[in-house]
Amino acid sequence: MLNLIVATQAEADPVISELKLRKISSSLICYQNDDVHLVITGIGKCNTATACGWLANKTIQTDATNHTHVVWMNFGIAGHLDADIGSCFRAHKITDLATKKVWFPHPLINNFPSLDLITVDQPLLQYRTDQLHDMEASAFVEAARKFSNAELVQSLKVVSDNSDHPLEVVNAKLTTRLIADNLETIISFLWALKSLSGTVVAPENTIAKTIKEHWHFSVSQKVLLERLLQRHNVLLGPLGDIPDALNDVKSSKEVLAWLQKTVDSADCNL
Amino acid sequence: MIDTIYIENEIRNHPRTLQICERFPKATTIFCDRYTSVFNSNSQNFRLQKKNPALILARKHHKHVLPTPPGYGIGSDRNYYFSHMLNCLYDCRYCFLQGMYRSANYLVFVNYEDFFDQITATTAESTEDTWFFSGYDCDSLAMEPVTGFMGEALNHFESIENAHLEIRTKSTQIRSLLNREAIPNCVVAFSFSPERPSQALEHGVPSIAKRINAMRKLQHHGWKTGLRLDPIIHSQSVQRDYADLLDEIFQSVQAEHIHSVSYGMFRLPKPFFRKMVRMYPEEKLFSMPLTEHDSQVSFGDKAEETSLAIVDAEIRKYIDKQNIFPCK
Repeated sequence: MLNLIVATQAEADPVISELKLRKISSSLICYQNDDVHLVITGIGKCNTATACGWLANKTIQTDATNHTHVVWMNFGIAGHLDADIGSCFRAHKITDLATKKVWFPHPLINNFPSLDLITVDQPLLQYRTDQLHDMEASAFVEAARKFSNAELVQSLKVVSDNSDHPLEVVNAKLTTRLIADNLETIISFLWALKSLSGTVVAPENTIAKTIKEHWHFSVSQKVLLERLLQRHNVLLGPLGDIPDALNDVKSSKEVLAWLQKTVDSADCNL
Repeated sequence: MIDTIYIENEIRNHPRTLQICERFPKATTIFCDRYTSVFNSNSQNFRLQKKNPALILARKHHKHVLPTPPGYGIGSDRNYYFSHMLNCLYDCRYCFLQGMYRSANYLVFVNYEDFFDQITATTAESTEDTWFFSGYDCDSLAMEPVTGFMGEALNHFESIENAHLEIRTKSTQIRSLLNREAIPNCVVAFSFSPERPSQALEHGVPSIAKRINAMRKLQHHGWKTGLRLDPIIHSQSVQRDYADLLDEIFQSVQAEHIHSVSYGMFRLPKPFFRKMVRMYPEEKLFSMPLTEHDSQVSFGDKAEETSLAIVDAEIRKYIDKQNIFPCK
C-alpha cells in the first residue's frame, strides 16, 4: 500500500492523473485506487500531521499487526538558494527550523540525488546555502514514522524557486508543470519503494483466521498459534485448510499441541 | 558500495574521516551532531537498511574496551573486547547483531588512538597476559581496506608486553597482514560453518575455500591462526558436516600451527531472537525446534550436548586438547 501526502492540488494533479486515482467522498480531500491513497493536506505542518493521522486511521485496520510495510511518501515543490528550477531531490536530512528536531531518511534507493531539507513555519525570503526549504516535510516524517518503517517514509522535492526565480512567481500552473516534468522520476521512486517494502511483509496466514473461528483462543494462545502456523509454513508448507487430524479436537489447547508436535517433528536440516 | 556517509560534526575534519571519504568520492555526505540520531533512531528496519547500508563516521567517547561475557576466551583469565566498528559487511542470518542494533548502517569510530590508549591502560592493570578480542560487533578485516584500523592496531600491539590480540574474521582481506611481519602476540582467527549451513545462512561471506586459502597464506607468512566454529547449528548431519569441513581445512592448513580452536552452539537472547523472527519469518533456522531457557533461545541441552560432543571429537582428530576451547 502507498500513502501519498501532498500539500496542494496543483502538486498532486499529475500523479492523480498518472495513477488514475479517483476522488472519494471524505472529510479531507482524498484520491485513491486499489493500491494508492493520496491526501491533499493544505500548506503547513499542522495540516500535514493531521492528514497523516487521518490517512493512517483510514488505511490501517485497528487489528492489523503488520502495517509497517506501508510506503509513505510526501512530494511537492521546495525552494533552494541556487539549485536549478525543476531539479528533483530526495530529502536525506529533514530539519524542523522551529523545534530543531532532525530526521535522516535512509538512502534506500541507490544513488538518488539528495539534499538537506529544512521545514519552516513561514515562507523564507532568503534561503540558506545548499538546503531545500518547504513547509511540510518535518511534520510528515514525524507523523508517518509512527505508522511505518522509517526507511519507507520518504520525501521528494522539486525545486520551484531560487534566488534568480523567486517564490512570488510560482503559481499553480507552474507547480503542476514542474511536477509533471518529474513525473517519471517520482513514479519510479514510488514503485521502487513499494518493491522494497515487499521484503518486509510477513506472509499472510489465512488459515489462522479459520482456526480462530473454530476454537476459542486466549490472547497468548493466539500469539502461539500464529507462531506455530508460521513455522508450519516454513518447514512443511502452508496449511490449506483445517487438517483432518483436528476434526474431532475439542479445545484450542489440543490444536496447539497437535501443531507443536507436527512442526517439531518436521525435517529441520538447512 | 557506499553511496551515503553520515559524519559527526565533531570529526568532520579528522584526518581519518577525510581519508575514508576520499575512498568514496561519489558518496553523498550528510552531517549530524551525534551518530546516535542516525544509528539509534526509532522505527528502523534492519532488513530494509541491509539493502543499501550507509557508512557512519563518529567518535566514541567512552568504554572503548569492555570485559568479554563469561565463558568467552582462549585460555586466559583476563579477556576484553573492543569494537572500532559496529555492524558487518556480511549478512549472516544467525548473527546477533541483527537483533541487537536498530540500524544496519556501518558505524566506524575514527578515534583509534583512544582505543589503543585504553588497551594499554587495561593491560597495565595486571602482570598477567591480557587478551583483546576484535570482531565481536563487526568483522575485523572485512572493511580493513577502508578503515585501516587493524594495521594501526598491530603497530600498537607490537609495542605492548602481555597484550594479545585476536582478529576474528570471515574475510579474505589479508593484504595488510601480508604486507608486514607477523607479530607473535596476535592470532588471526577464521570463523567457519560447514558447507550447508554456510550456503544457507552466511550471505555475502567468502567461500570456505577462499577463507582456507587466506588462512594458509597467513600461516605461510608466519601469522598464528585460529579456527572458530561458532555458532554450531544442530542437525542430524552435524558429524558428517564437521568431519568434511575439518578435513577440507586441514588439507591446506597446518594443524600444528593452529594456535587455538574454539566452538560454541547457536544461542541468542530472547528479545534478539524475537526481533529476528519478525524480520525474517521465512527463515528456516528460526523455525527449527528451539527452546527458551534463562532468557536464551537455543537448541536445548540435549541437542547441544550431542552436537558439542561430536564437534569436539572431530576437532580432537587434528588439534591437541589444550588448544581447544568450548565457548559456553
